[in-house]
Parts: sequence; C-alpha cells; structure tokens
Amino acid sequence: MFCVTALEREPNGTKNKGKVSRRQENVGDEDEEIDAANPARSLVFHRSVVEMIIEVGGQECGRNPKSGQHDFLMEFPFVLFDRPPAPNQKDAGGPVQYRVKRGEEKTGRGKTFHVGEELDQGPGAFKKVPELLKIVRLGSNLTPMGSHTTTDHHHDYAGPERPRKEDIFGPASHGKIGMWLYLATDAMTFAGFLLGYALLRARIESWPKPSDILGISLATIMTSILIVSSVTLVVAQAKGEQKDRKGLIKYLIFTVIGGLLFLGLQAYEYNHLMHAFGMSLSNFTGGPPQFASTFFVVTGFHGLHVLVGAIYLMIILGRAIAGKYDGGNVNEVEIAGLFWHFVDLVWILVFTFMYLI
Amino acid sequence: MSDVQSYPEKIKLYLRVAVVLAVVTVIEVGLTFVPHSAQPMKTIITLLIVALSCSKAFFVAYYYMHLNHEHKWTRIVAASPILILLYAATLIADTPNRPIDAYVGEPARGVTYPNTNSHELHKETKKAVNDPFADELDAEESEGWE
Repeated sequence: MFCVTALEREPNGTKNKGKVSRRQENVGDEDEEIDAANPARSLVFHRSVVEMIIEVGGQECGRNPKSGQHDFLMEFPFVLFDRPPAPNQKDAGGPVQYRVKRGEEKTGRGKTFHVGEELDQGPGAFKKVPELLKIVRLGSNLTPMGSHTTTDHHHDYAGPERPRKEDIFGPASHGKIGMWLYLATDAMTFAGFLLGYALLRARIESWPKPSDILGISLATIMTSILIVSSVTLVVAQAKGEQKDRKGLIKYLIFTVIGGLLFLGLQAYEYNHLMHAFGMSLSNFTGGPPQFASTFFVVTGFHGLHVLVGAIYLMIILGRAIAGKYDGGNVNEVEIAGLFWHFVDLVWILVFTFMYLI
Repeated sequence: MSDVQSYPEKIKLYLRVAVVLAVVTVIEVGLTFVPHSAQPMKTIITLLIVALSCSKAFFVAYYYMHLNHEHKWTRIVAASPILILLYAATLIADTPNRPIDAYVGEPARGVTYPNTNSHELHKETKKAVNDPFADELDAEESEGWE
C-alpha cells in the first residue's frame, strides 16, 4: 500500500480559485500489489496538482540522488506517466493522467524511467526505499478515474505560485545552470583578452618568441598542477557521491593545495620576469611593452580566477568537514568544480597561446 | 548519455582522461622544440598546437565538467562562447585596414625598444591618411612640449 499526498489548486471559475489544498489518499491494501491496468487502482485528481508526495509504509520515498531535488526519480520501481489529453477534455493546460504502475518503462517529461523488475531488488527497490519521492508537477490538471479514497483532508497551503518550466536543461540544478551562464560570460572575457593579444602580436613585428622570454618548463609544471587538481576534484566529487566524507575531504584538500601551488609558482614566475626583463604592465626591456602588458593582463586575470577558485573550494571544504555533503548530495561541490575546471580549461588555452606558440 | 555510471567506472574514466591530457600536453610541449622558424612549418606546428589544446579543453569540459551528462540546453550555453570566433574573424579580416599606430603606443619614459620610433610613426601615419590635424599635432608638440 502506498499513500499519496497531493497539493491541489482549485481551478478557475470556482469559489476558492487559486487556493491550494492538500489531499491524501491511500492506494491499495496492505499487501496488495498495485495494478495499473485496473483503473480502480489508479489515482485521480480533479484539480490542478501542485505537488505530490508518495509514501510507502509511512515513509516518504524517492529523492533524486543526483540532483538532491525532489523530482521524478529515474530508478524508482513505479512509473508515473502522462497520457495525452483526451479530446473531449476542455480544461486549460490539458488533462494529464497519472497512473502508478510497476515493472514498466515509460517516458514522461522527456525522461525515461527505468524500473526494476522486482520490487524488492535493486538500489531503488520499493520496499527498501528510505528516501523520498516528491513528484512535482505543476499546473497540470489530472483527469478523473476511480480510486480508493480513505482520507480526504483539506488544508491551506501557501504553495509555489507559478508553474515550473519544462526541463530544457535536463537534470541540471538551478545553481548549475547559473554557473554555466556565468562561465559563458567569463569565457567571453577571456576570449576578448586573448583576441586583443592576438591582434597586437600579429601587427608588431618585433614581438619576441614567447619561449625565449617565458619559462616553458615552469609553465608546463603549472599546467600539470592544474590538470591534476582538476582530476582530484572530480575524484572528490565521486567520493562525495559515495557518501565517503573522508575521501571527499582528502581530495578537496589536494585540489586546494594544487591551486595554491599554482599561485605560488605564478608569483615566482612574475618575480623572475620582473627582475630579468624589467617586465611590468607597461615596461619591457626585451621588446615591445605590449608583450609584457598582455602577458600580465591575461595571466593575472587567470591567476585571480585561481585565487577565487581556491577560496571557493576552501569554503566547500569547510562545508564538507561540517558534514554538509554526508547525504551524498554533492551538487554544491559539482558547481564549485565547474568553476575550477573552467579555470583549468582556460589555462590550457592561455598556456598554448601565450607560452607555446 | 549514460546516467547510471558506477563509482569505479567514473574513476576509471577520469583517470583515462587525465592520461590523455598528460600525453597531449607532452606532445604540445615537444612540438615547440621542433625547429619551425621557416614559414610552412611554422604555420603547421602552430595550427597543430592550437588544435591539440582545443581538444584538451574539450576533454576537460566534456568529461570533468560533466557535459557528457547534460542535456541539450546546458550544452548550448556551455558552447556559446565559441561564438566569439565570429568576432575574431571580423577583426582578423579587418586587420589590414587599421593603421599600425593603433597598435604601437608610446614607449614608457626611459624605456627604448629596438624597432620602432612609434612617435614618428604616429605622425607619419596620420599624414599618410590625410589627417587634417596632423600638422596641428606637429605644431602642438613644438609649442607645448618643448
């Protein structure tokens, strides 16, 4: 037996339109299996459903382990699927029918739900699921069918007001999308700098060969450090997903150390270049000053990113130590990771354009 | 798009990518030691290095930044900065139209660098493009600066 709690919104044209109320239904008897082929076992909602929670044996089930959000769960033994609106239904938004069924694979909202063959097998097994499945489906009207209704309470609920957009970003969390948007703009900034560098270099004939001035071997070491720190960070994230707190902390520390090491080497490099070639933002004894300006602007801007990334990761490290990610929800680590890998990625390009060629 | 990936599989993939990145880096750095001052070789080596580093960047974005698990729009956002190439192409195409003094500024005080006297160049360019203020610039200089 499972219990479904739904938060429903009263439709337009009714007395309490827009008001959200809670409805709870028990489906199936204690030892009864749910048969979706039998409409009498399916759930029916007449109003717009804001949110649905499924409870099994008194426990809510199914939290999306990847995003940590309450959402459709991919490896859940039940299938929840939409039906196309019946032609005779006139409700705005189209009626959507949810039926709960096991042992099947269906798509809904563009996702495929993989369902275990047996209810008691697999990581998402029905009887063992301790986690929570909150099915969020906003703004849809659910069609009537027969159902077992054993309880029916109504509470006021200040639920979310606006319907959720369809997931064109797939499983990406909001934070992740935000970070990607930021990184896109940041990449444009770097691209602008590199472009300016390229145009200057193309027109100034006395531009020295970078490898004559800059130490390629040192820069190669710096590149390796950043790449290794990226590796340790993805490993840290994988450890976090495994709920391995010690591993997560250990590899986060490696990553931070990598970042700080990079900064140290960069400081050393700057110091050397300033003394050996009188390099500053405007001066350079070995050729056109633009060589020095572009070098410091581009690598300096990148170094600033490394610094920010290291601080960012230290904050994440602090949260990891505090046990914030013990549940295996490492979304924050992943978002910080995006920034860090981006810094690595940019360095790969800077290394190429400013040192190698 | 394999959403379900076990822990050892992930680690294996990450390490494999790391090995690829290391090998490509070694190749890149190695290429700089190939003598390439002559023209056809220079372009080839340069393009090769750029291509290799772009592939590295792609590997980092695709595997470490998990674009392999993302859906269409996240990928489009991630790839959007590539549009800057349009801007780059425009600027590069326009390069011959810009006077050289747009690039060569004044040297800092007390610093000389070998090839150009940019100040002279500046005046000459202005004259060459029939700048009506070029003579004024001369006059200003002789009056104000000396």
